[in-house]
Amino acid sequence: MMMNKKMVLIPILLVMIAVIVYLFYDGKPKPFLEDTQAIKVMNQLYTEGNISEIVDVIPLDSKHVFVPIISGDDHYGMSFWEWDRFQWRLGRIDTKGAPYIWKIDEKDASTHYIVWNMDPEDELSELKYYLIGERDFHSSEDVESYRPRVQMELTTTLQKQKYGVLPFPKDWVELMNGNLRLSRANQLTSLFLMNSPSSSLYIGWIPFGHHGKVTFPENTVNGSSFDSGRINVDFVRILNESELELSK
Amino acid sequence: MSFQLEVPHNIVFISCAILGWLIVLILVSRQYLKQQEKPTYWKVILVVLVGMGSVTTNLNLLQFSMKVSILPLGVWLLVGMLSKKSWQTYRPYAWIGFWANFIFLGTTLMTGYIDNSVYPKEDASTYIADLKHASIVAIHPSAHPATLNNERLQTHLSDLQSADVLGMEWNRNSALESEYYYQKERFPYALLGTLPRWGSNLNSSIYIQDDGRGLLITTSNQSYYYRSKEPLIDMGVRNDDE
Repeated sequence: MMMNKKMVLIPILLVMIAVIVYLFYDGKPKPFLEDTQAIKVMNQLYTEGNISEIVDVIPLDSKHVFVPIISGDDHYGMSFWEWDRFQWRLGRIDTKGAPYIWKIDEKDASTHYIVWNMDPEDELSELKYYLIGERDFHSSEDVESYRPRVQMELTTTLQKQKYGVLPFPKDWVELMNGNLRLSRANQLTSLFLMNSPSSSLYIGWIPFGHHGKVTFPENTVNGSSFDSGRINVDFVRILNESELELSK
Repeated sequence: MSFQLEVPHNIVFISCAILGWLIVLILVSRQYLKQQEKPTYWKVILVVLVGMGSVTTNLNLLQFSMKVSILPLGVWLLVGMLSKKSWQTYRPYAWIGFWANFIFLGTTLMTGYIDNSVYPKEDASTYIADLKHASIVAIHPSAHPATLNNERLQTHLSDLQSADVLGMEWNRNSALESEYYYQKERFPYALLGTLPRWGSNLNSSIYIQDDGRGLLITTSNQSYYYRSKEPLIDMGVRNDDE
């Protein structure tokens, strides 16, 4: 009888341990795939992309890799990869390389990265990214509020390479995280108060060509994309210079 | 029964909630000790909780709108459910449950009152209590170079004069071409890295005025504006002739 009990209990215990290990196994990331392998995975998941070349492999952290690519039609695109316990998984493909913000942890702006891959035919020399917060006020009988305009600039050169990854500067991160905290508090109070001011910061960009002239990057925009739904990205809008204050 | 105003989710709120439950617990215990025929303990808890169920009505008192229990629905339910004998035993607990609604109304009212006296909302030092890791950053191209002297800001915080928030006017000043502030920002610096008073759980954005003598604190729904006789930050050399 004793024997029998043990015979049953031990396998159950082993299975339970296996399940727990499986559930909590975090998997130390392996080195990223070989070029040919990565291309194969991408073309399997997204045939229309017709990817032909890996331009570079840029790790954001140990588990997230940005891979600028060239598609069969000579478009400059991007792919987003994530280590998922046992393997590198494709998160997203864009057939063109207009900037996106990749949010690893949505609630923490220090894990947000701007990524891009400009088509060389657009002949851009530098990109300017902007952190924008609209000036905003609310005025009612017992509530008076004002929010100053935020307009901060971050320049990145395209002299050496047309693609890149950029984390936000420390000041931006603090402003954005403060803003996120405030809007979470806002969500709580807006259950009670209808007209709470909306507060949002967003990122925009302006591309510059020869001699610092604003240039529309025709070959870099309007691509198509494949999204697995497992990663979190945000589109970055091209700003018009007239939307900026004090622009010379 | 609940409040439709912003209840702070902080240390005061939690303390008052605990106090409310403590009072209920004391009332239940006293009743329990008084009774000769001891009821079952877990049934007592259940009866108190069911007794709390009630129909509420909205009541406007001062500037608050609150829900006040009027019909003891839970108590009636218990009358229907329990046998005559157990009703005799459990009746006091059902009513304690109903009256607990009013105890909680009282403690919630208290929360608002105490919260405002422990963390005065009009007071800049409530939002800026710890300046150890503070820094300023220019958030607008119209900002002139400036630096923060943490100790000096700390000393000037107590001498601030409250002033009116003129959001609509400030917004217009920056939008009209004829105005000095056209395409400029009146509050072009953000003060980062400060902590609000301990336990207050108050989030806010803090800005400093272009002349260095104004402080704007914006919470999720309200702004507070203060003026200082002394500059709060060290302004670089300014060209006033531009």
